[in-house]
Amino acid sequence: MAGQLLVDIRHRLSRLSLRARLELGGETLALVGPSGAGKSSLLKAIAGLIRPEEGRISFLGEQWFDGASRIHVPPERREVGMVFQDLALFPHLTVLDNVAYGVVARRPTRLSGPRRSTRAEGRSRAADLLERFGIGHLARARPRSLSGGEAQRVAVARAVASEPVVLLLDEPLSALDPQTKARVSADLWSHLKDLRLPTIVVSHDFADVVGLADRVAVMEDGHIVQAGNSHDLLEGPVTPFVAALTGVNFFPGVAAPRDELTEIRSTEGDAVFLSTEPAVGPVGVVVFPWEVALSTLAPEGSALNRLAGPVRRVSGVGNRIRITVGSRPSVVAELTDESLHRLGIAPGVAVVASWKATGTRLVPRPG
Amino acid sequence: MRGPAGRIDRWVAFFFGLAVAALLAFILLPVVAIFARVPPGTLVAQLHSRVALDALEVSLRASLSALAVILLFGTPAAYALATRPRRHSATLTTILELPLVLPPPVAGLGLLMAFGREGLLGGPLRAVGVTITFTQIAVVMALVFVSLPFFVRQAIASFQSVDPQLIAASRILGAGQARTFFRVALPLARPGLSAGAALALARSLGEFGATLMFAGSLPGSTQTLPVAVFTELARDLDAALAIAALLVAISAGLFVGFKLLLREPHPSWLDSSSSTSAIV
Amino acid sequence: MRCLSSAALVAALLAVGATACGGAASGSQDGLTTLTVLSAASLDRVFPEMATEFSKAHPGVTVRFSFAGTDALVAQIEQGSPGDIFAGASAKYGDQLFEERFVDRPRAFATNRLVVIVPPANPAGIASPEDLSKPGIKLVVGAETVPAGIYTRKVLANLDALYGPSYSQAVLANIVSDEDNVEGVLTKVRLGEADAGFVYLTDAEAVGGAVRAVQLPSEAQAVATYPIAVIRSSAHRAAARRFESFVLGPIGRRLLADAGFGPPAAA
Repeated sequence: MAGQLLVDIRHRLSRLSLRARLELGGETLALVGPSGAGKSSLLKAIAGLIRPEEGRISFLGEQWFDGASRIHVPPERREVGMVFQDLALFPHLTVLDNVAYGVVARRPTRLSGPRRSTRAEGRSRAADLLERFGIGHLARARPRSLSGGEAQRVAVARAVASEPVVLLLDEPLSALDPQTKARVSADLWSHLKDLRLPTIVVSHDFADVVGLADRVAVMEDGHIVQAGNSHDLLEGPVTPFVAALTGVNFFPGVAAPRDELTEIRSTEGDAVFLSTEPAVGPVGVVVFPWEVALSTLAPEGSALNRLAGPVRRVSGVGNRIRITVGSRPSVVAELTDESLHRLGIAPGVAVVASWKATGTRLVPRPG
Repeated sequence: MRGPAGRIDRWVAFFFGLAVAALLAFILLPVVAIFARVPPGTLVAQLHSRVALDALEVSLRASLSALAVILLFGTPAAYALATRPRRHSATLTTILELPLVLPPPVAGLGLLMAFGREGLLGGPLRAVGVTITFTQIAVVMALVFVSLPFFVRQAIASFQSVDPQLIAASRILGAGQARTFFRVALPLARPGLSAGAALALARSLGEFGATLMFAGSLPGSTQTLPVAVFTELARDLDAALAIAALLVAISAGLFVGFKLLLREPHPSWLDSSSSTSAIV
Repeated sequence: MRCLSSAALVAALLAVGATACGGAASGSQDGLTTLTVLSAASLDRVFPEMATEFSKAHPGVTVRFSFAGTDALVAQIEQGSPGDIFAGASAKYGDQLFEERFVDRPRAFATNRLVVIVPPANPAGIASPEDLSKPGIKLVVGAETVPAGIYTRKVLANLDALYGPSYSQAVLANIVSDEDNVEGVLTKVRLGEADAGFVYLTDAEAVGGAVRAVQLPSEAQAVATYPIAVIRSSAHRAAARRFESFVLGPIGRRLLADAGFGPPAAA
């Protein structure tokens, strides 16, 4: 069911102007971008906390906002569920009353029935939900006594308690430490799958959301620059930012045919790349980090693309290590822990990064 | 190097200590002097005088009425100002705070010029058969005028310290503005609001100049405790001291209450994010 | 109040010191002497003129004033405020200070009479003192603790003989404010907040057309006698006595008469 939620708004913020179009069906959309890109503002506009200057927001044909006919449905009548970045649990209410809050407060709508729920009904529904989320024992606790993961579950339970039609999650994992994050995110996603709600998840970290989202929209500078499934983005990023976000080396350049191959002159430095893909004019050179080999000597063989420079950064967890080489342009390689030690790579060591022409993808780039 | 530096440090420490001691003595001496001159028994006996009892009743009634008016109008006004962008509310807040810097007699004169029989609103008020000057309403108005800023300042600060995300969360959960105000903003701001109310009450109990100017002074009707101190001073120093001692006791009690209310640890000062990060 | 407080003791000691140094200053006629006159608020228009005339006759002596309600002046002197001359609005207070040995024997230098004042528009239509007993009149008077208030109540009691025994009771019920000084009464009538008030004739004359005066029958008048006395702790007793004589002398009498004061009763 595509296009349940339609968003097309323009709104000027203090440091950027938001201009976003978005369609959401019954799926989970990850909205990814750097901080300050306007992701949270877009969520607030959908929730009704911000009134955009122009445009339209509608859900299943019902106008939530229409700049032209001055329609602005206040947040409390939009039936949106939202989980805030820092969760925003009410500190003066128990966990049970936090979750019951929306059930009791929500005005009667065509979906929820003819009348407002009583406090007892709200609490009974909240208690059920807490059981479903596996935190029934926390009903009488105050939010500040909860662990990060527990608070997270309470916030999600509260957001869905009043049966919203759309669920918005703003950086749901950013407040958690790495260990908790892994556990909580698995937990969160399993609940989201069960709920089957149209959902927008905002994150500045592609890796956090790439696994759960049906689609990813990348937001940069107030605009949605690219949207698609995560594989599309990984393979065909349209801007350096999207490439960096998805973990891909992206070198803007100008392509021209040479022999059987394509030669690309980098717009940064005097590097020249070779690719087996045909192209002419402005292109983006996309190289996956795991296709890049590193050596301390000049490499031999069929690897035709080379960039030399000192190791700038070594980072990563587990067995996959990412090495940033301070060449012009700089390039990221991904090695296993073993090869890292075998090669004796450490920050400052001079290395040559190389990859094959077959491993050099070319994507169109706006001139 | 350690010797002279240590000596200088000792002198500096001594000077700071001296400054504190001197100021403490300067403030405490007059307060103690009020109680020191007349034996406690006499003070208590004097409090049973008609003048003291009348003034106490007038003061309590007028101050509590003024407090009710301040809470009724000041709380929603402070909430409105606290939740608007600061650049919009700054001027309005400054106007509400103006009585803080106005000498009370000027406030009284202003009230006369606005609400007096010959004042700006004198004609319309007279047309509906209302006279304010020399009535208990005038006392209450003078008290509201001078003590309102003490509450409003504190109330605005308290509402501003409520996490705006909690307000937004409440709205998105389906609560309208009124429900959000009563269920979220008000409970979270309550300790600060109570402190502001105590401060405003203490200020109105001590009000003198504006009351005298706008409401006059009639025992049992408009003569408040501070005005009674001033009037009694001419007749009987002991009686004036007894009333002064009563005022000191009430005001100091309220002020201590104010301090305790502000110190009381309350969940509202800790938002959920701090508890999340606490486990990291 | 009779017991000498420690504060008064300190003030007295200071005053003794001041007397010791001040004696030499007033002894030399070349030196500049400044006299401080603690005077009743109702003298605040005539006394500055008095000072100008006095300084003409006595070069080298300047006079400054501290104006306040007479009761406040008495409290100040009892608490040891430095000053050279006391000029009050009530003979009673002069006698009290004399008994307490704070001042030399006081002498009466002027009298003042009370008058009813109404706003120029006279909204309550008060034509005679009898109208003050009409219900609903807003009347302001001096408090019972200040001379003007004491005289007001005395006059009202005297008027019972003319207007009937319940007159003063009815008028007292119309009081909406007991002001702490005559200025307060004057202000509230001038602003039209009160329908009528009792002030000294001199106060009414000083503000000219800002209020209208309604005369009281002379048989009901309570005459306020103004005492003047040199303060014992004065550092300039000789100069102070000269000022006192000047006020009692021909120029002083003329100035006081011009301002609406009557001659002292004994004269």
